[in-house]
Formats: sequence, C-alpha cells, structure tokens
Amino acid sequence: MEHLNSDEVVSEEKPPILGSWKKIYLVVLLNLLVLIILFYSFSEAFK
Amino acid sequence: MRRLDWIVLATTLLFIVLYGIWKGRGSRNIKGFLLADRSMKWYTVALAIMATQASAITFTSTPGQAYADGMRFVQFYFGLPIAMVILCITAVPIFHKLGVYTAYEYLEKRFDAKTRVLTTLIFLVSRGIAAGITIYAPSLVLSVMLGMDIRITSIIIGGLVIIYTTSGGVKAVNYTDFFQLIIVMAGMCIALGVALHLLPNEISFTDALSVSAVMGKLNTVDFSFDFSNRYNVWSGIIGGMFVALAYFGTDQSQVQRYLTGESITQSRLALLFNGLAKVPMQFFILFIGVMVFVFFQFVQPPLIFNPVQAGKVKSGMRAQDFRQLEEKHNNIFKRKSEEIRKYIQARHEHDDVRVAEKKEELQSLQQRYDAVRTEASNLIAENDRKSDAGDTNYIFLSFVLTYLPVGLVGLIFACIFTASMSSSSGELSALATTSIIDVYKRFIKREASEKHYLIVSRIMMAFWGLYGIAFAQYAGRMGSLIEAVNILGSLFYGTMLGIFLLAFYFKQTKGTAAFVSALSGEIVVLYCFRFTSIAWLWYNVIGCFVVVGVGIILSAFEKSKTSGSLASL
Repeated sequence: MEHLNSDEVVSEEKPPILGSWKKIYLVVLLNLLVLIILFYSFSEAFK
Repeated sequence: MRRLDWIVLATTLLFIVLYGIWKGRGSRNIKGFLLADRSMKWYTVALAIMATQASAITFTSTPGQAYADGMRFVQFYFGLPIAMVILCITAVPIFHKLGVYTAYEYLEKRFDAKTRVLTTLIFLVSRGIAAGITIYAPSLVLSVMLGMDIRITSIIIGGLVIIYTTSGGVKAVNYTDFFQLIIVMAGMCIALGVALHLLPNEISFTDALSVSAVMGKLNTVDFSFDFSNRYNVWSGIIGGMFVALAYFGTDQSQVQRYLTGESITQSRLALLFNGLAKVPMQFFILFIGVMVFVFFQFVQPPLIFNPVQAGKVKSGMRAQDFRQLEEKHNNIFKRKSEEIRKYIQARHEHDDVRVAEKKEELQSLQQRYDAVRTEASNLIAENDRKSDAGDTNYIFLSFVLTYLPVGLVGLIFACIFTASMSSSSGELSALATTSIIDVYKRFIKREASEKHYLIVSRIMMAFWGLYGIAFAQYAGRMGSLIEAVNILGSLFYGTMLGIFLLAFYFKQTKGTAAFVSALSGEIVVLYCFRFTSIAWLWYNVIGCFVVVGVGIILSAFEKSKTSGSLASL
C-alpha cells in the first residue's frame, strides 16, 4: 500500500448516475466543448 | 454607505461566524478538526472548493477586467475541467485509500522523508505569502471604497476567520464556504440585474450586447495560436490545465477540501461539479463587468475609479495635467454616448451602411478613450511610484457604491468580505494542517494525545491567521507585491506538479531520483526566471517537464545499475 500509484488504484465505487465514471468524465469534457462552441457562437452573433 | 447598508453588512458577517461556530462544534480529535471526519457530502465540498479558489479579488477585479479588456480572460479556465477529470482518475483515489491528511504525507509514503520536507517547505513559503495577500488585497480595496483604515478592514477579515476556524476547524471552513459562495453569487446576480435595469429605456438587452461587441468586449474565444498572447483557447487549455492540475492536485488548500469528502465518490463528484460550473461562473462574472461597461456608456464614469489615487494626483504636482485629461475624457465620453445612440438607431432601422460607419467611429472613439485612461494611469504611477496605477479592482465597487439602492450596497460589500473570508479560511486551515501533520507531528512530537494535537492545531490556525493580519499591515510598503507573489507561485508550482506526476505514474521512480529531479526542475525554472524572457505562466509547464524528464532518466539509470549488480552476483 505504501507505494501506491495510479495504476494500482481501481475504484470499486460506482457513480450515482450514468453507470460508470468514464461516462461522467465524458460528460464533463463534452460540456467544456459545448461551452467553447457556445461562447464562440455568442461572440460571432454580435460581431 | 448608509445605516441600512452597515446593518446588512454586519448581520451577514455575524451570521457567517455564528453559523461556522455552530456547524463546526464537536471536533474531539484532529481527524475531526483537520478533515471533518471525512464526512462531507459532495455539494458541500464542491462549493467549498469553488469558494476557496474564488477570492474577494475574483469578484472585484474580474468585472473590472471585463470592463477594461473584455471577456477573453474566461479562456484561462478552459483547462480546468480537463484537470478535474485527471485528478479524479489519479489523485482522489490514491489520497483517499492511503488515508492521508496532506498531499505531502503521501509523498513520504511513496518516496521518502526528504521529498516530503521539500514539498512541505515549498507549500508553506509560497502559500504563506499568498495567504497574507488574500487578506491584504481585498482589505486595501475595501478600505479605499469604504474610507476605512486598512488596519481595520484586515483585522475584521482576519479576525472573523480566526474565530470560526479555531473554533470549528475544517468543518466550519467547509460549511461557511458553502454559504459564502451562495451569498456571493446571489449578490452578483442582483448586481447584474441592477446594471441591466439602470440602462436607458430605449436600450434593449440585445442592443447592450451589440454595443459591447462593437467595443471589443465580447472577445470570449480566440483560436489564433500565439505565445505572446496570454489569453487564447490553446494557452487556456494547455497552460490553464497545468495551473489547475498543480493548484488542485498539489496545493493543500484545495487537496484538504476534497479529502473531507466521505468517500471517493463524494470527492470526485465535488471536483467534477467544479469542472462543470467553474467556466460558466467565470463567464457570468465577466459578463457583469461587460454590462457595467455598457452602463457607463450612458452615465459619465470617473476618469480613474480609485478615488484615493485620483485625489492624490489632483493635489500633487501634476494636478493641471490630470484636469486636462479629465476634460478630454469627458468630451470623448459625450461624443461616444451620442454615437452609440445613433448606432443603435441605425441598427433598429436595419441601415447597414450607417451601422458600419458608426461602428468604425465608435471603435476609434473607444481607442482614444482608452488612451486617455492609460495616460491618467501613467500620471498616477509617476505621482506615487509605490501605488497600484491600475484601477480595475475599483470599477465594480465604484458602480455598486454609486448606483445600487440602499441595502443592496451593504449586501454586495458583505459578499466581498465573505469571499475574502472563504478563501482565507481555506488557506489558513491548510497551512495549519501542514504545519501540524508534516512538521510538528512528523519531526517535533511524534507521540502525544489527541487532545494535545487538537490544542496545537487550534494554536496553529490562530498563528497563521494573526500572521495574515500582520502581513496585511506591512504589505503596502513592499511595492507591487501581488505580481511578485504570482511569479513566486509559478517558480514552484511546476516542480510540485512534476513530483506528483512522477509519484502517480512512474512506478520505477524512487525517492532520491524524485528529489534530484525536483531540484533540477527548480534550477531550470530559476534559470529561466533570471536569464530568459520567457513569460512566467510557462514556468509551470517547463518545471513540470524537467522534473518528469530527469526523473525518468534517473530511474532508468538506477534500474540498469541494479540489474547490472544483480547480474554480477
């Protein structure tokens, strides 16, 4: 346990929604992408 | 401020202190006092994380920055959601499973004591100075705007924080942070509502947006790649991600927040919520600044928003020059205001030729307007070399004080005090925890009762609080300290991040290799700082890459040496 690093830690805990952590991470990253597109469209709309 | 404003301000602050004391009661050991017994739900941790990161200057300076420079600063946060995901995969499960109190404690378990000592020292020095600034910077702004002595504002902020942190520890910090952020965001929503309400009747919301776009304030996204341009999508995603990884992954003031989560799931959800909400929140705060900018296109703003500095120049040797600039500023303002109305009329009439013509005229007027303000700032700098010539910190509060109705002014000032207290309390509890766990308990008194450690923890909280207040009394005499602190942070953050990346991802790296690579990274960063013109934001990236690179090479060398000696046996 003392030399624990990232590939040795597998979290057994399931997230409360979407079934897997990978899906939640994807939502966070997609949200960022959508925000960048929205901000860009917002700036362009009033240019 | 009128009497009702003072009542609102005092009641809000009193409520927060009493709430902190009440929610933080019952800590009987250091696990309760420093980690809230790892019992926090994700939403409390999430708002505590956001409140700790968003200092009072975030809420005073960010709208001012949008007023002066537009919304491009939002791009700096684009890397944060990516960093949150990386930390959820790596740091959160490791820290939780090892049951550590601090991030540096993990480094001793993973490497050795000297690596822990090095990172602890880096944290205590850099965060110690930053904690002083966290109290000093808003104290200065509030003292100028409220006409109070800075000693009083800093004692109020620091003193109130000491009361509830020494009493309730991290539990009090997290619960008050939760409420503080809600109060601050409510106050900011009201301020936006008032700014929109105060616009002339004939100006619609889309007109306001159109005017701000013409003046170059809706510059939210810039896809061009340029190393000299601090804010574009690429520097935001890459540079911002490194800064967020270092801050949330290695700085105890944030690590401590998510270590209080009752499980890995709760801590992860808290960080991911930050990843979802931080960018829109910054956009919203910047947007308030843009609407304040539009408001000041129809109502005459002062030439310089810092009343103390403007007063000093007016009574100094350059008073005549300043008055001339004021006159110029007033004339340009009047022209600009008239032209904006004509532009909006042309827009309503769909007269594209006139719209284009007025756009050009407005942009040229805005350039002249900005040039006059720059000249005025230069006069201030000449008049008082130690002063902060920029006035972005004062724009939003000047608007609040002058144009918000009675009662709301008190609420907004309460928000600023509150924001300052939330970030200070997070920093003080992190400094106290590191002092206790990584110094006192590790090197001074290894075996003692829980009661003893609890008393020393409370003393440490009070010590760091008093240190912050004392720092605020003298910080003004040190010139442009805030920039120096930012640079100081960048000198160490890259190295810290590099060490943690070696710990998380490079199983073969041992203690000495990590320590030597950290020193190498620090030497390279200091070399860049002293002998090159590389912008300090890039020090984080350089430091991190050098530490990881040297760490890999040394580990490979150690491995070949070990296999060589085994073969000779």
